[in-house]
Amino acid sequence: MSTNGNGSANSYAAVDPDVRLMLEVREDNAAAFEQLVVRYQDRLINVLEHLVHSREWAEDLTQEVFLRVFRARKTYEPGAKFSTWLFTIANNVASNSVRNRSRRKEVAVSSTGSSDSSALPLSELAIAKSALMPARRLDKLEMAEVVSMAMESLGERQRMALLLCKFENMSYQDIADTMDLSVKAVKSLLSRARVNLKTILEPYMDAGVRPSGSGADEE
Amino acid sequence: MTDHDDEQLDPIDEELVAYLDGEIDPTGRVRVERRLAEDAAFRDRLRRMQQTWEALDLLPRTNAGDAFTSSTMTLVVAEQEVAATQAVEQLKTQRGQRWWWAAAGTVAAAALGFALVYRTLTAEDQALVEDLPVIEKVDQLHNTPSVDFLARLQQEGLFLADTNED
Repeated sequence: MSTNGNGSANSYAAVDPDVRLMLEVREDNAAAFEQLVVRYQDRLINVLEHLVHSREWAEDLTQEVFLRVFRARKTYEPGAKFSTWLFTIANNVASNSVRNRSRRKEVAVSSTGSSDSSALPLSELAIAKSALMPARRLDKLEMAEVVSMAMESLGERQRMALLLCKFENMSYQDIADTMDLSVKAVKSLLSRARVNLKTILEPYMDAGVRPSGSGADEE
Repeated sequence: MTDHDDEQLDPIDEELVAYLDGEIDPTGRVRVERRLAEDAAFRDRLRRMQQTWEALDLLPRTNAGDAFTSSTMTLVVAEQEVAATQAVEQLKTQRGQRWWWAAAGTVAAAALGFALVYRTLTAEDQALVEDLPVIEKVDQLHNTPSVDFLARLQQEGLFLADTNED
């Protein structure tokens, strides 16, 4: 993401303290970089963990994102809020990583005949995971589990848009910038994601019935 | 699983989502709020949408902690050290190349200088050789009345003949 000129660069630096920190990082200020790491590490891990369903993988990706930020410091020009720039990098890093891993899994699947559990429809996921859970209790833990499963059933782009909207409170415009989409596409993506979530979660929320249909996960 | 974005989406859902996200235009906002006041089913639809949105708050949040910060900084420092080492190596290579260029330049300059001096000296000697007959007879030539007389002698071949005889 590049600047539209010195005017916009200055305006971002004026309103966004993280842009100012990044400008210090550009001047090789390691303390400023550490501050950015501290400020954003949890936010990145949280979004990425829900995106890739693995804490360890999310941590690796987060460190890769910070490394890329550091490598790009000398050419950094503020052209957006720092968080938008950072999550754009995160989105690219995560998408590439998911794609590469999928390719590797495709090879493994074709040789072993096994399937990728993260791509299972929700109904199968629910059955698989319910065996690991105690008796049906409408407690927060179980609810969190069901919500996680519902998230897993969404496509990668819907999930990313949803996470940025929910956890990062990003505007549609910022999500569009981060994911390189139009605002209209983001609006549509988020609507589909939320309708899908509602379809999946409603039976459980209304009657404690774990989702058994497969209609909701077809986006 | 892929995002089937081309599938038809209920415009009411789209409008409700935009309303909940505060991303609706003022006209749309008025329209939604008017309908919410009048239509119980519409209100219920919004409530359900909101309910599932709030359920996302239950998703576990993680705290990476200081250890993660340290390991990230260590990674960055390690990468910086590798980059610094590579830069030093590159500098050494460039310096080595610069020395060779300087040496080659000095040799070339010396060769050029030698060639120029040699050529200049040779040219002076050549002029002396060409002027030798005149030099040998310089005393006699001093006694000639004019340059025209010498020119006539040369035209008639007397000057050359005389020179060749010598």
